[in-house]
Amino acid sequence: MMDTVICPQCGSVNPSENERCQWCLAPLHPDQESGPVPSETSPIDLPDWLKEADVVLTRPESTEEELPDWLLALRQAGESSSLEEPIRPESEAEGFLAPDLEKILSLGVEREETPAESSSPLEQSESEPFPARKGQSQPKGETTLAPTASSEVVSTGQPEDELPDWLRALQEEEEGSPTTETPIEIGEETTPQFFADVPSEVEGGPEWITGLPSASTEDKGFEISEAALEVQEPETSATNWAESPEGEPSSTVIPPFTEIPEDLTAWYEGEPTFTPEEQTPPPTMSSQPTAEDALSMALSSAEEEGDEPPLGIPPFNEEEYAAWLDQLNLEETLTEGEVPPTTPAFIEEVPTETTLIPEEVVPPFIEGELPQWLAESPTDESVEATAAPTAELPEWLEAMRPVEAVAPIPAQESEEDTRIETSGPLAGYQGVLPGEPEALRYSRPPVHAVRLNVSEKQRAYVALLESLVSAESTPISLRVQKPVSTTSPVLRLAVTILLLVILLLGLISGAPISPLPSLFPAEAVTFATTINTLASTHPAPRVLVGVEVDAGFLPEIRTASVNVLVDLMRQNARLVFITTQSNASVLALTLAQQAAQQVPEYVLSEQSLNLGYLAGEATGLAAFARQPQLAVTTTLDGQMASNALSLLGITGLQDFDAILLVTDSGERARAWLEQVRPLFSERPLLVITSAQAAPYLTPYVQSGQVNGLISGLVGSMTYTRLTQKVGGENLSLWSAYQMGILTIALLILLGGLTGTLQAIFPASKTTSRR
Amino acid sequence: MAMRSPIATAVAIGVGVIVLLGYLFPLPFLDPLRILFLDWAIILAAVAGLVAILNLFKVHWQKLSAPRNRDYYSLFFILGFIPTLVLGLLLGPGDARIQPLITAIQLPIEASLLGLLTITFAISAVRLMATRRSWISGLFLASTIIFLLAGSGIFLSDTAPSLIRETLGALNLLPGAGARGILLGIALGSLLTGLRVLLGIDRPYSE
Repeated sequence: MMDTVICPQCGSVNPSENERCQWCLAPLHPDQESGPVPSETSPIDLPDWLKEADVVLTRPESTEEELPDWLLALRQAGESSSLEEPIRPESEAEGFLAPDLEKILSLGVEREETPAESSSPLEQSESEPFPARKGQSQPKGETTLAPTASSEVVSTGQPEDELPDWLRALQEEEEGSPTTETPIEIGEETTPQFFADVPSEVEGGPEWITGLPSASTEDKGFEISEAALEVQEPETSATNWAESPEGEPSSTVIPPFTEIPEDLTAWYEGEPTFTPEEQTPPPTMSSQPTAEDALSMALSSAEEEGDEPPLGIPPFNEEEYAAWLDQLNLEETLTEGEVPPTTPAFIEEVPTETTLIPEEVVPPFIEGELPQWLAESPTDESVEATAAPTAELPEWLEAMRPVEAVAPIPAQESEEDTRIETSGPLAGYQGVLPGEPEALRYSRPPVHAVRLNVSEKQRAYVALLESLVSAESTPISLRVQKPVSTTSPVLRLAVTILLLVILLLGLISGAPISPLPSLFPAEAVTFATTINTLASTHPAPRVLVGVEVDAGFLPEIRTASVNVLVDLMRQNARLVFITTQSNASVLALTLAQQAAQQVPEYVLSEQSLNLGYLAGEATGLAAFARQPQLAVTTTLDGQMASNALSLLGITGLQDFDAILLVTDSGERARAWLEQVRPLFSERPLLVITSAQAAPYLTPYVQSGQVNGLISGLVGSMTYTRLTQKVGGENLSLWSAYQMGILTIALLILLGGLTGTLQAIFPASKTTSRR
Repeated sequence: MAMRSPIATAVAIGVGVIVLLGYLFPLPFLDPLRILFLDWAIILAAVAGLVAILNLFKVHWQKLSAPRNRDYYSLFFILGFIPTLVLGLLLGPGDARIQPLITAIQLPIEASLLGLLTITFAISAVRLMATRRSWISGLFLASTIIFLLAGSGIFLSDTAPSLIRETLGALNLLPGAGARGILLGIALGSLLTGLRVLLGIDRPYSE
């Protein structure tokens, strides 16, 4: 058995006589090649810290004891496994990582598709079969850019239909997401700002990082051409692993590190510093197969159907590993549908542009080779069940974080960034313009209760006001009266016939049922006395006769009025008739004519004057009381009232010897008493009225404003009896009047008794109905 | 609150005060103004009467010419109104040919209405206890019977018992007492109404 040497970088077994690894071209004897890599060729004036970092990177490789366990296990697995055979998961248990790898590789391929079409190196690589796939070494000059794991889809042996939904959705999402090209100019210093702030030399880095082989281009055995550097994609940059698949900064993705190494920047510093000088001369790849070729063959053989360029499998790179973990974490967030936690500050602050072109690495992980911490990484099911663990940054890294990373992110911004569309064709996309949720946010404005500080007294006032207002609008319910039963026709007809018969009997008989009145009221006596004594005051007494009678009541007072007028005419009185009723002037004329018929010597047209209608009622009476000649312009005959009055010797109200008021209404009598009587207080005012207005005028009689009063048929009979007029009694009318009143009184009495008996004995009524 | 119709209110108050002062203080310069205002009021009242007559004719004309539910009783009004107006304007109200329009038509009709009213009241009083049995109804019927007897003149003779005569005489004071109360109420109401109008509290002219 020949002596073999294990490559400290790729862990492959090499003959002991080889100075460099036949797989990865890494020096197999670091001690012999120790010493810094000359950097004089770098045209860029690197900062001091970066130069020092370069020195650090060229330190002697860590020994095998210093490697982490998982890397050692990886190396051992590499020794035992045949690199010539394609790496295929033989069993489902072994291929549990296959979906992850497929996802990562497919994401990388999707990102690489767009720039690959426009970048000449990639086109060249696509046009030509990848040598590693055929077991041939490809000249590095032709593959200036090593095909990364993401540059092609690694077939997992599963048909596309059998892919899990999350992976298919992820692939579809990646296909639809545009990629951006961020060409980097040669010589541009794209060192991130936060890394620039890092001290130039970080000591005390973790061993698993410091022990890694130098990532210089020389050690890797290949160089990147300028053309490849010109076409840089953000996904392939050194900071792309910290970005989301859409090219956006994955501020919400946390790598599932259980523990982040303290000197996290050490591995970055250990990255190879690509300089144009180093990249310009395309090195030729040795014909001896390297470990990269072997791994790429192993993985590319898994996808036999794909024509994509072969994979270059570089040594394990922390950048790709971080990107890989990011994709894994993205899967968690998509699966759980939760808002991913915030990204560590150092990830957020990593600029998108960098000079580094990481090589996509498909780690040749198999189940047995996985480190323990990676083997315990959450699977799809576990990811769905558990939330992503929160990364714990070391204190020194916490202190290095920019302020923006520490500052709390506004709620609205974080909400918008982390929103994932859950429905529609854009389901699963993040950061979609919010449409429906914004619209659904609108709701009824909140009702704010307004509470006033009011006292009890004010409350009482408010309650009172409310009751008043409500009472105004509340309709008052009318009392529902019982429907009045109509009088039976028989009763009405019987009463009517009875009354007519009685009245006719009284008119016909002319015999009163009672003796004629012999007892007279005092006002009637005064009235008769005043009328019959007017001649004693003036030989031709001037009497103002006010006729305020409706035609219907005239028969009641006609007898009394005519008798009085006859007595006045016999005294040669000058009668002046006036009325405030439109039709009463004719009635007055009628009464005068009837009286004059009984006094033939009295010349009505000469000794009397009918002023006719006086407009304005009470107002007209007031004006007439003041100035009779001005209030009335013409008489009923059309003569000038002033002249006619002058002929009678009347210039004013005071020229009248008496006022005789004939009325059937107490209101009209009151107007005379209120408007005329004050100006006629020294002369008698006599009233002939109907029976219904007599009670109304009684107070005026008792107060002396009315000197004499006779009312109705009783007053007519009383006056006749007082004046001893023979034949003036009108006994037939008096008899009919008395008989009619007694009959009505008797009917009312009987009706009242009947109703009372019905109320007292209701049962008898019911019995009779039965 | 803004005053409604301030000019009308001022005019009403001013005229009322002048007329009132003219009644209370018969000063030489107030009396002509008061009489002038009264003359204007009479003229306005006469015009108002004329307007009322024309409005009455208009209403009955509209009822008669309505497209639906014509009131043909309005035809009698129009047939009576137009001849009376024409004859009155031509002959004058004092003409002997005009008097029968009142004495032969209006007077019998109104008298008949009063006679019909008498019979209706009598029948209602007869059935009052049958429809509304209450002490008020009984009291009303009792008072009606008493005053009918008192007004019939039966007990105005010497032959009537003195007790009855004295009783009826005492009962006759009750209507006078009631009428006095009514007149006092009317007087106080008129006084307050006049004061409210003069003070501008009531402005019936502005509505």
